Parts: sequence; C-alpha cells; structure tokens
Amino acid sequence: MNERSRAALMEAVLTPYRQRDPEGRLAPPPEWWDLPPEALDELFQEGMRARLVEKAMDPQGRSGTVRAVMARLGVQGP
Amino acid sequence: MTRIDQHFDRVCRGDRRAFEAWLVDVELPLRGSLAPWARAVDVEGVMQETLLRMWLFALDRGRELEGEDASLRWAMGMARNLARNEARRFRREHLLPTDELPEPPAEPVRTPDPALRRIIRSCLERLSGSPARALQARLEDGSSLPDRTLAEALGMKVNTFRQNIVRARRQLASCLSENGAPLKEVLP
Repeated sequence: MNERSRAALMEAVLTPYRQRDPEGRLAPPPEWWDLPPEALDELFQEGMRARLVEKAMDPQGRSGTVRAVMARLGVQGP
Repeated sequence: MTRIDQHFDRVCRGDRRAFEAWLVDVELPLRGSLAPWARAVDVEGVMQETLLRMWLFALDRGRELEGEDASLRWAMGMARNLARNEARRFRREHLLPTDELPEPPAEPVRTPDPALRRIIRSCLERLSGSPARALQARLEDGSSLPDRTLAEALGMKVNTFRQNIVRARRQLASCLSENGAPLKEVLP
C-alpha cells in the first residue's frame, strides 16, 4: 500500500459519520478493515487532532462526534 | 463539585443541552483512554455508542454515581467494556492489550484555550482552493452526511474529495507547527 492510498483510507475513517448495520449497531467504514495495525495507531492520533480542530471551529466547542451524538438524540444546531 | 459534575447533575434531570456541555468536556479524555484499543476497534464508533448509552444511563441510574468526576470515570469503564465486546465481535481479540490495564485516571478537562482556537482558525483561513472547500464541507456536515454526498455537492469524486482533505490537513499541521500551537497541552 503506497502512502497516497494509505492516507486516503485513513481519511475515509476519520469522518465522524457512521452508518448503522442491520442490527442497529454503529458500523466502521469499510476502509477501516483495510488498515494495518500500525496505521490504526496513527489513525487514533489523527482522530484526536481532527476532533480538536472541529471543536475549535464550533462556537460551542462541539466536535463532529458530539454533533453526531446530539443528532441521534434529536438535538441539532446551536 | 467539578464542572463535569455540575453538567451531569442537570443531565440526570433530562437536560439535553447540559448533556451536550458534558460531552464537550469529557470527549477528549474519554477518547484518550481508548488509545490501547485503537488496533482492535473503531474508536469513533465506540465513542459514539458510549456517549449515547451514557445519556440513557444518566436518566436511569446517573444519580447513583458518587465522587469527583464520577460520570467521566463511569463513561471510561463503559467505553472499555464496549471496546472489549466489539473486539470479540470483530474477531480481533488478538489485537487487544495483553496485560490487564490499570483504570485510566479521570483527567482534568482539557479543551482548546482561546489562543489555540485563534491559531487553528487562522491556519484554516489560510487554506485555499479545493483542499479548503473539502475540509470545510467535512467540518460543517461531516457528522451527518457521508463523504460521497459531500463530494457530490462539491462536484468531486469521493476519492478526490478525500485526497483534498488529506492535503488540507497537511497544510494545517504545518501551519500549526510554524505558529507554535500548543497541541500537546490538550491532546493526551
């Protein structure tokens, strides 16, 4: 796997968007399964940074994770 | 009573906005506690499932918790149990930590301070072209829409969309480093 395709796979997983499987459980994006273990460690660090940037850009300090959870509870917007 | 405790006390009474404020305060330390499971589970999925279950837990038994930042410690335990179950379901138990880990400490609230926010915003404003548009779309709607939809709205193929975000993140990282952004103070 070259660096370019590895970075694109990681970016596909960095999104806070998650679908649910037929049993109603949150499912990892398909690309997650293709990442080797060491890339998953790196992904973890990138995920922290991505959420931090989202928090910085939101007036209430909400990351994409927080917004996704609140949307599931029927609360959207500021 | 800590700020987390004050928020959680209101959450137990069904206050959804207080729950949002609680989420904002606990997210980074909670996510940081999942580092040992990063190879075995989808951390983002475990995070969202844990936080959704904490809402239900708060309404049902939240008032039983005692001690400083007890709700954060409870959430960390819940996240670890969920991660262990997910690893079994995914047949990735061999990637779990080999030793029994100590209970992660409930760390103080670490949120981006105003100076760090300013640096991040300033660096984001310096991005331009397709990378800027792609990252902006992800920041605004990435929690509710899949990349394919975001890419289509920008007239990009999904792979091009993601490559643009990769470029944007690299430019952003360079800018943050050049401006001395104190990321280590807020990231575990």
